[in-house]
Amino acid sequence: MIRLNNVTKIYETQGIKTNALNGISLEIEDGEMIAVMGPSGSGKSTLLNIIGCMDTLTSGKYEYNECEVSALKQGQLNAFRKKHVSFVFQNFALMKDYTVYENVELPLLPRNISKKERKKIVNEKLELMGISELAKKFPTQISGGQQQRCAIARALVAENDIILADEPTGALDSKTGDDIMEIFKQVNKMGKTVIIITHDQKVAEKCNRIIKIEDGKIKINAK
Amino acid sequence: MSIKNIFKFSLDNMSRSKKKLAIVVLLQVVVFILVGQVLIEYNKQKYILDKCENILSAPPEKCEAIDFESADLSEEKTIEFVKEIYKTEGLLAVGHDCAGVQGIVSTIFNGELRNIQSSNPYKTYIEMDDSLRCRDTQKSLIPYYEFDYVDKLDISKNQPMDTAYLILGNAYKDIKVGSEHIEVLENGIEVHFVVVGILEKGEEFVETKLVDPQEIEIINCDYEIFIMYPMEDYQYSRPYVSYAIDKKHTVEEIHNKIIETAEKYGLARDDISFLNAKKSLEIYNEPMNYVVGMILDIAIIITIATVLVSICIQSVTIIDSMNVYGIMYANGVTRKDVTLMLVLENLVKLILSIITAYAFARCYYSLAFDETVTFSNELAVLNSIVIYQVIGIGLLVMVASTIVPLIIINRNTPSKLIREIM
Ligand SMILES: Nc1ncnc2c1ncn2[C@@H]1O[C@H](COP(=O)(O)OP(=O)(O)O)[C@@H](O)[C@H]1O
Ligand SMILES: [Mg+2]
Repeated sequence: MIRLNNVTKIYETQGIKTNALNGISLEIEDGEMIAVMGPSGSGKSTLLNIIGCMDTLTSGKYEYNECEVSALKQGQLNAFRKKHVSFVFQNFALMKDYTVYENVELPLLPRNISKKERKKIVNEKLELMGISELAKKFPTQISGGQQQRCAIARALVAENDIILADEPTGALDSKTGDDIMEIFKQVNKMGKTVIIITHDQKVAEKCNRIIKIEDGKIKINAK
Repeated sequence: MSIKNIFKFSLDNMSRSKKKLAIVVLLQVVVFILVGQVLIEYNKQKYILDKCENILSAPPEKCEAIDFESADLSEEKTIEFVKEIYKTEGLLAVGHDCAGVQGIVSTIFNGELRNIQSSNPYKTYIEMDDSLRCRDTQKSLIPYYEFDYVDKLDISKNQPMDTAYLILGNAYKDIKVGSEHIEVLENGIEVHFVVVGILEKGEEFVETKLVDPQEIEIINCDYEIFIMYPMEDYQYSRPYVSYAIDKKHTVEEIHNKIIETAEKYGLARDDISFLNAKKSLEIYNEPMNYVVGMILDIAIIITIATVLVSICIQSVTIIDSMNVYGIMYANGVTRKDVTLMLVLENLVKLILSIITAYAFARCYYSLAFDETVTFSNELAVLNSIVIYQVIGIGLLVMVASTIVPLIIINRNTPSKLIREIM
């Protein structure tokens, strides 16, 4: 279970302070599927980054199960991320010089999985995403929807319990977006906690719970 | 991440951007060759300087050179005088050079000599530009040269001035026919030659022999003294004779004898002067120190420039692919992994550069110096030192060009790194 208690995040660039998060308290059960909504600049990505340990909070407390994440040092945060969190980004964040296969394989490298095993896992996830035949292609050679499938396959190979998706359908047309959301539902059914940032009400409605953020504060938190 | 995976990933990373790799390696190659060249020169000069200083710490009392102040060496009488000097009793290890090997005279012993007949110099001949020449030698840098047959060469016809005439001094203990020598000219070209005969008093030179370089042994000289002429004093056409004085004779005695001989050949007293080894070394040392210091400065500047340039290149390359590191962090790669990756990448670049630079330098030398490439033992030692020095500098470059990008990467949170593409 993810538990945030009065979390704030202040960015400081060139002396200008931005309160990206203004006292967020939130509990997310394991296996939930949550939509985070809110206007641009309201702090959605910041929230996700803090949950995924891609950023550290300024004050407040962040716990995951028994672990007090907000007290971890940088090295431990890396380890936490490696163990628990996978990401899906709006722009897919694929390595452009690497093939689809190699991109999906990436999370397995730091996990010291044998080459044979890696091949099995990667192919399995590519198949699950329906992009097996694209394995040898480079990200620039495939469509946005296919790239996002590739990114999701990459998020899945690590077998982490939390999947964080920052506007995963934002760059896709609505038909493709729907397909991707179906995939997230499947992923959620596998028992993973899925948190999705979205602007799209239709997308949000596919989730168990919708959290609306404004000015770094939670406005609505409803099932 | 296991080292194997890190290695695989680094290699992958490099092979994906071959252009960048080629640019970095090429730049490093150029710089390493430059640094290497400067260091070779530095080591050589430093080596000579150290030797001088070593000698200066216990200066030889009885080593001198004759400086032909105003004597005209194209004149018959002067040549006769030079020949006569060798016959002076009490002179040992006489060396003679009338060509412009800058600043360096020949070597003189300060110990007991065997197989040496004083005033009977060893003559070495070398074929250059289709003519047979006799050349000076500078001990300490020694290998071989291939010779052609020359029948019955009459050295008396070989006047000092029209060839680079040299007598390899009796400075060499156990000197043998077949022993090799090398002379390094000012322009860096090495002239290799071999002792093809040893003359007895009054004897003339007989013949040269073709020598198989493989069969030649290197002579060891356990005594040697350079007599250095102050560089500004030493003119191309100003020859000298250097020698050591036998224990039984005093310096004054020898001076008087030589002056006597000079007068006998019609030279004036002040046509010649005597230069003490210690004094000449001292005069020589000062500008040399300056030169060596300057060469070292150049090497340091090149090194610093290299470090800076490669830091820049590395940083640009890294900034160019910041998001890749963000993606890695988002997918469970740790900071330690990234550090190791960078170290490995730079290490591979370094190894590639050094091997390329080394291969290039070898090719260059073998093209430029043709068959005389084989380095002498001491020169080889100096050159192998250069390799280590270049490797050392390379490691410095590697560390610098690893640390700076690492700092750039780690100053940013993973979220910021990955946003570089957003
Ligand atoms: N690295 C950063 N440095 C400075 N300000 C930032 C940084 N990241 C986000 N912000 C600011 O924090 C606020 C919230 O940003 P973000 O979480 O990205 O919003 P959202 O994802 O809801 O659009 C914005 O005002 C944004 O400008
Ligand atoms: Mg955002």
